[in-house]
Amino acid sequence: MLRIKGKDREKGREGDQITFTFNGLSYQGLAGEPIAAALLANGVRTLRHHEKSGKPRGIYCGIGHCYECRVTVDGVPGVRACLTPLKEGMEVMSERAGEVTSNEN
Amino acid sequence: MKTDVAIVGAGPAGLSAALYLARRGLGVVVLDEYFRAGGRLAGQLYENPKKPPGQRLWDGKAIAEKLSGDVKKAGATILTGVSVWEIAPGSGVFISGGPCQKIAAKAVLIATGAAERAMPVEGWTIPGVMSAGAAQVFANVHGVLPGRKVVMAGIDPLSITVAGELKKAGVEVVGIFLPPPGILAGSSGLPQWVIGELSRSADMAPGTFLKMAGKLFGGSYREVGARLCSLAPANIWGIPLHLRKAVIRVEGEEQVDSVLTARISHDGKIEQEDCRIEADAVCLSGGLYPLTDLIAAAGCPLVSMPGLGGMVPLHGPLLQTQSKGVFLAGSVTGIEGAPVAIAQGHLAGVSIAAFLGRLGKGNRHELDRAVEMVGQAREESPLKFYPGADGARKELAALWDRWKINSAGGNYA
Amino acid sequence: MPDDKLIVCRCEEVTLDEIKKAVKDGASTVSGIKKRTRACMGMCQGRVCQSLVKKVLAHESGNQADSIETATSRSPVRPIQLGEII
Ligand SMILES: Cc1cc2nc3c(=O)[nH]c(=O)nc-3n(C[C@H](O)[C@H](O)[C@H](O)COP(=O)(O)OP(=O)(O)OC[C@H]3O[C@@H](n4cnc5c(N)ncnc54)[C@H](O)[C@@H]3O)c2cc1C
Ligand code: FES
Repeated sequence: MLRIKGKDREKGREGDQITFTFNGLSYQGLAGEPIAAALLANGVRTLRHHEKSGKPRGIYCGIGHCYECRVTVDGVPGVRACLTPLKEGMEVMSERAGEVTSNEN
Repeated sequence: MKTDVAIVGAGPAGLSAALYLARRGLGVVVLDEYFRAGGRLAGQLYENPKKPPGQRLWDGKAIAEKLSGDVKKAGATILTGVSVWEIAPGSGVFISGGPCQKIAAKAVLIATGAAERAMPVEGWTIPGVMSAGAAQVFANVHGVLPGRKVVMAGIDPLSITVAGELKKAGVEVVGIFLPPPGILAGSSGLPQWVIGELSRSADMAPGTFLKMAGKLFGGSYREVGARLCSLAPANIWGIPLHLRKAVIRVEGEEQVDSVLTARISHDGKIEQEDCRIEADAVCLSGGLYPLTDLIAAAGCPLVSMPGLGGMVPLHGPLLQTQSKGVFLAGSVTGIEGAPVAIAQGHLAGVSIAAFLGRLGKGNRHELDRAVEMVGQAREESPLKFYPGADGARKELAALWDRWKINSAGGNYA
Repeated sequence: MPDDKLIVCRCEEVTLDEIKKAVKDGASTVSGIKKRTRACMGMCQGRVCQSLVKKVLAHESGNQADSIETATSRSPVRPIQLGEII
């Protein structure tokens, strides 16, 4: 486990242990922590594959700037996993090509 | 949604402005795209040696929680998870992810903070490679480590701080290395330059950890020279700091499994491939720059100020900009630490109240006091991200004066 | 140095070599690089790679990185869902 143990870190935790899925597999996480943190704590680093090259990608900036961590959450595409709090029963999917929110106008 | 002041960014700058304005009875809406208020305060935990004993601990997370609690108590609204994608000077801001599409406001404060400069290495898109700031947030805020065995590339105050924090949290930090030499790393790939920068900012840096680094490199030229000649790493809290070795490639298929290092000559050239180091995470650090996208899109001119971290929006001493009713505060005006951002936020609050005619006649001195407080925060600041910030601030003030004289825009303050 | 393989723009996977080539082909501004290579045109809108692109421009043209104009940021500065503006 990559979670930090110890009392002083405990207060940084958001809450109860909950269950969510990523690409159909079931994982445990803490309610309210970012989806990306829950996945990293489970050892999951690849969040999507690049639309063009198919190369694996994971968190890079951690604070919403780079959009590398975008996933589809409960059917909504283009969600940044580093910014989005985890909820019980969330269905998280790797972004598939064609579902990407475009910023070109 | 309609209010008096829309504030973009719930970091220390935005929150302290909100606190002042809400207490003055103005309507305030604070918007932040992160899911929690506090901005970069949340990752910060250090001791300020410049403060009297007993007041030294800087617990960013606690400060952020108190500040945002106070802001709400004072009557301001904080909307998190909401991105601002355009400022309409004079009429408000456009948002995405919120309860509506526009916040109509008489004044706008841009407190969007800073972002990290990228430091690319071959293989940096492999999962497990992340910015130093990302590692800081995951470890200090979310309580999840970036990996078990971590390599840092890029030697600067942020990467050294993060390396120390990770080690304390139980990570094996294999070493802090130079970035790969080349045009992208530029001078930050040169051993001599890195030592110079470190010794100039480290005596001001937070915590014993960086102070030790400062002592290490702040010595005589002969010592620095000796350090340069030596291929043996410096040792900080058991973390090897390699001034003559660079990470030149990250390897791994689905995720990081190793990095390749090389020996670097005094003038920053690859001498020889060195070795392959096993690691499951790599943190890259290239320094910080002001996040000016919103303010630039609103037509505010940017000025190049290396001492402040790059391009900064032209602004006046009361944090006003060339767009009427648009104000700035915090790291967006130049990279400095959180105490400066708090003081600037307060100043922006007073300045906006004055702009809206809500300061009250006898209260002009509040503006002067707020300006003084920014200066004081700067002096007491434990962390200098870029040597040369003071000179850059002066230059910026002179540019503003010149603009005011050359234009009809002198209707401020 | 295997410059050619080094990705500068992560979003659009544009390499250092491609950016250097764009400069040789006449690009002298960030906007010029954008048009030729798509660097800075992905989801992050240049927040990660724009400072890198400027460094390449500066290096290849012999100017100071800071004297290269920042590609004017355009609204929206964040990707938005279509439904949010219509
Ligand atoms: C990775 C990193 C690490 C740092 N570490 C330290 C440290 O250890 N010690 C230290 O003193 N300083 C550190 N700093 C410097 C930091 O900038 C200041 O300490 C301080 O937090 C600046 O306050 P601020 O309010 O200006 O900006 P921030 O605290 O950065 O807050 C800005 C807020 O604006 C939000 N925002 C930006 N754009 C938008 C938009 N378009 N729409 C909605 N919201 C938006 C962001 O989500 C963020 O919450 C660090 C900065 C970074 C980037
Ligand atoms: S990791 Fe960069 S946006 Fe989420």
